[in-house]
Amino acid sequence: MFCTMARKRMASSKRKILWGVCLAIVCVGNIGLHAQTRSLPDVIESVQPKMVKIFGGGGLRRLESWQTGFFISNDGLIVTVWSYVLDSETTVVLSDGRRATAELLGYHPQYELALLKIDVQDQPFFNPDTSVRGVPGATVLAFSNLYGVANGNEQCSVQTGVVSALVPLNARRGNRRTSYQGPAMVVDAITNNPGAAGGAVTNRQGRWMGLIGRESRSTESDLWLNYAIPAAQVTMAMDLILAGKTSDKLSVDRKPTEPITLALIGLVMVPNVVARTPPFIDQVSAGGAAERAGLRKDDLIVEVGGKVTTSFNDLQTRLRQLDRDAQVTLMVQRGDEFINVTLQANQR
Amino acid sequence: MTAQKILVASMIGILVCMATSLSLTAQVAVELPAQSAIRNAMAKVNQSIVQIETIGGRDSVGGMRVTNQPRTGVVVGSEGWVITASFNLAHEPTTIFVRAPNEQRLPASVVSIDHSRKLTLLKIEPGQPLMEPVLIRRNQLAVGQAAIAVGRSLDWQNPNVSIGIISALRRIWDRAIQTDAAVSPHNFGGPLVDLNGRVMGILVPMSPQGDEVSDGTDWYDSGIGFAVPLEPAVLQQMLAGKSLWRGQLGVTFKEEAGYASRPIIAACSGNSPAARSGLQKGDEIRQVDGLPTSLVNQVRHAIGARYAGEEIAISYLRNNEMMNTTVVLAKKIEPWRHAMLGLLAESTADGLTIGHVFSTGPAAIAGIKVGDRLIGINGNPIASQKDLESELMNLAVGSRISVAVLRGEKQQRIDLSLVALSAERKDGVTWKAAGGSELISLKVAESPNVCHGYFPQSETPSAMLMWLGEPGESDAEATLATWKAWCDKTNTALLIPQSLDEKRWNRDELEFLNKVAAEARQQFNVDAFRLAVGGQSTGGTMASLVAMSQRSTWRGLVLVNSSASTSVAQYQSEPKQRQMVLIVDASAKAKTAQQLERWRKHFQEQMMPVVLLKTDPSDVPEIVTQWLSQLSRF
Repeated sequence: MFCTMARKRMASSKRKILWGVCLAIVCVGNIGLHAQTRSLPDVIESVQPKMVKIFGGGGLRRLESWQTGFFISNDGLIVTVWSYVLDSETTVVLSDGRRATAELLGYHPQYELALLKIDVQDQPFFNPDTSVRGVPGATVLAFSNLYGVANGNEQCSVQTGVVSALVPLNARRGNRRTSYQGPAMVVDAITNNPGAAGGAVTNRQGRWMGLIGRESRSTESDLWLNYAIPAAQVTMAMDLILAGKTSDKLSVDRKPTEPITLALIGLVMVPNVVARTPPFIDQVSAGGAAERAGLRKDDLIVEVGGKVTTSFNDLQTRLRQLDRDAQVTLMVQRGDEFINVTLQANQR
Repeated sequence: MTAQKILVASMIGILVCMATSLSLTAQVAVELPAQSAIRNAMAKVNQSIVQIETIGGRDSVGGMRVTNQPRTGVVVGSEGWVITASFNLAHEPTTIFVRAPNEQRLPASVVSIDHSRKLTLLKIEPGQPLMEPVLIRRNQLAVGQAAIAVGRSLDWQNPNVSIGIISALRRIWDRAIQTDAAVSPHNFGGPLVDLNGRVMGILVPMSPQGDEVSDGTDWYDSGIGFAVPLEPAVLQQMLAGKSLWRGQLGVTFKEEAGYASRPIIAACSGNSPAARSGLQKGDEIRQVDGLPTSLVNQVRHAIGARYAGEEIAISYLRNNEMMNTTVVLAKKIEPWRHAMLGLLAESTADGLTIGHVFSTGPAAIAGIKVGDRLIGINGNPIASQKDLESELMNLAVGSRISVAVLRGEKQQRIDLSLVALSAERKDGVTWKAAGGSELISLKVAESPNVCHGYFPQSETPSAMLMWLGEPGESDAEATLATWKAWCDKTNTALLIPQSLDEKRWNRDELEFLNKVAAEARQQFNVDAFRLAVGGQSTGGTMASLVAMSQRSTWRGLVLVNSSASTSVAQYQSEPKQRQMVLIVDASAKAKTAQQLERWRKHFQEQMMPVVLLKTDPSDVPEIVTQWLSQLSRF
């Protein structure tokens, strides 16, 4: 475009200058492109050698016995999820088809992460020090052996999407809450499939962002979640495993030994008969904290500590997280009116 | 030209070149939308997206488990108007809260509902004006343009986002646009925006198969999502508190394959807008509001987006003449009450032969006799059960008709008044016995399910019952043993399919069940008008879904100690679907009796002929097969 315009304006005697300009465009243009945005195929090609496919002995009936992992050091340290796949002898297959038996260095049950080791040198790896944090809207690439479709020396499958949200993981596997409850990077691609756990999520430039977690359903919405554990949390877990501190509890909400109960604050709720009984007050005990705070029969408890109480069961769960000596802030609905109260259980 | 000048020129070249490379970067990024573009779009719409929280309510909607997880809504009026997907409130919560950015949690009330687009308008009283988003009109959208689906469900502080393109415009009978961005309860009620943050539509679960509020939720995160464009004129009505319904015409077309057949009317339901505007059987709709309609689906497309109360212009062909009429679409079409003459008729080589005349029915009173051949009604020739059925679907209960019959060689004209079709079991009907046979196994390609079939040997077509027992019941021989004597006595074929799951029947098995029945009908001599599906307990619930999945095929539904599926409640009697229901109470339990009576009442309200019989468990095969042998009643 610039060349054509220039040609029209310039006299033929100035052709030499024109050549210089064009040459500059071609040279610097190419360099600029490479420095700023490598093509997607180039980025993917540079990431694939860092990925491994992991195969376990047999696995349980009907459960897949493979997962994904990736190198985090040049001498063969591999991070992956901690699962039954690692229960027996573990085979690691590199992107070029080489295979090796891996040694399990350790695992962290609460992060649900494990570290494996194989003997290699000068291995391409994700450097934790240069990892990037995913923010909503950021483009991501996800690498994994989902559904075990990559056989032999085939490389991992690649998916693209964006970071949807960064939220604490509130999910369940079967009926049990996941052990990992730290930050999760929710993505909008369907990444969390059988065999994909332990895969890597990178940004558009191939820099490490996170590790694909095990398949789980959201506790709140009951939907299947697609998420990765952010690189920072994975790195923290790796450090703990290497230091042998795998029994360290994470700072997830500790339940008080003596929590608040409805009886303690002087409340009797409407019987919990349907699946999601709204938390209406049925009775306020005389002389109790609830009565002193002005609560009445038929008030609907809509908030505890600033968060909506969706049902009687939800109210119970929330109170159980509060120590009996703690102050409780409630919002109740009385007709069209919303009233905030603060109360404290009766002293013993 | 000095060397210096060349240097300067080259430097300019380098600068220009850098600019070029930047613009090239932007071009490369077009394949995946640039992060900055997404962030810009989000920033523009962020303030207009609210979180919706609910307290209490049911824990499942249309078979899908729902939670009180926060949902999403979009501001449509700065004074506190918020629109959301009706699905977000379908669990009927006790209390609804809306939480706008920079606002505290505020109680919300429902103002109006658009039942066609499945949107609900809420009102809150905010402390300060809310930020209205910029809307983009539907005619400015193009397939392939970037689309960002936004919710405020996971995190109140930051909206959750998924990216895709517009996959199609004018979907779901022209009510929605389609996107491949991930759409789920995490963003239902939120906006689908373009790269400028302009709202292209509200994300709503939708399905081309149904209009129930939860239809389409099972497609979550599948790459098939829908958004309803907001029309200012429609919004104005909703803001004024007016709820809207999909406009109904009330016609049944001759052929059901909407993609391949001409829109020729088979019946106009009694008091429907179509009937009132003069449309009738045999008319072919050629234009709706000036748009040519050569296929049934084109008519559906032309009307699908219209609301009840709107007027449409229809041009139609009657006796090779183009005629015009206008129709005001209705909110609801009253269920159709099927009529009958009071006889059993079979298609035979000689035509339509009367096999039995109900003792107190109009046919008996008018003097029609067993063995007569029915050859015409109101001057229209009749040669088969199908002809008679399509004649009756246009005749209301109480109409006086003229019946032509052949008795021997003599033709007679008999006048009578039609009565309502009844499902009562009539006494005195004899049946043709058939010889015994073997249990055979039937397979359907690509389906792992197993089905056994019993086909009595007979010259005449048999009735056929597909019997869904308790899930996991694998002993077909034992099931047959309880039915065989009555199958032989009444010439009834029996299909005994088995569920894959030992604990329950799965909706996915519907396709198999319909296919295996079709296969059996093709292979054996089965009377298409005496085809029923039935079952006991959860098998019965599944049977109700089967019956409703192909309403023109299954003439009878049999529920033994069993409720129908809740999703069956949406169906009402239609002219073209002559279905009858038999409910059998063999439980001797008061609670079951109550439930069954509720369903009997429900079917009756929907004008589906229904009968509830109490019996001993051992008499179930007798009652069911006898009822089935009377199913071809007209």
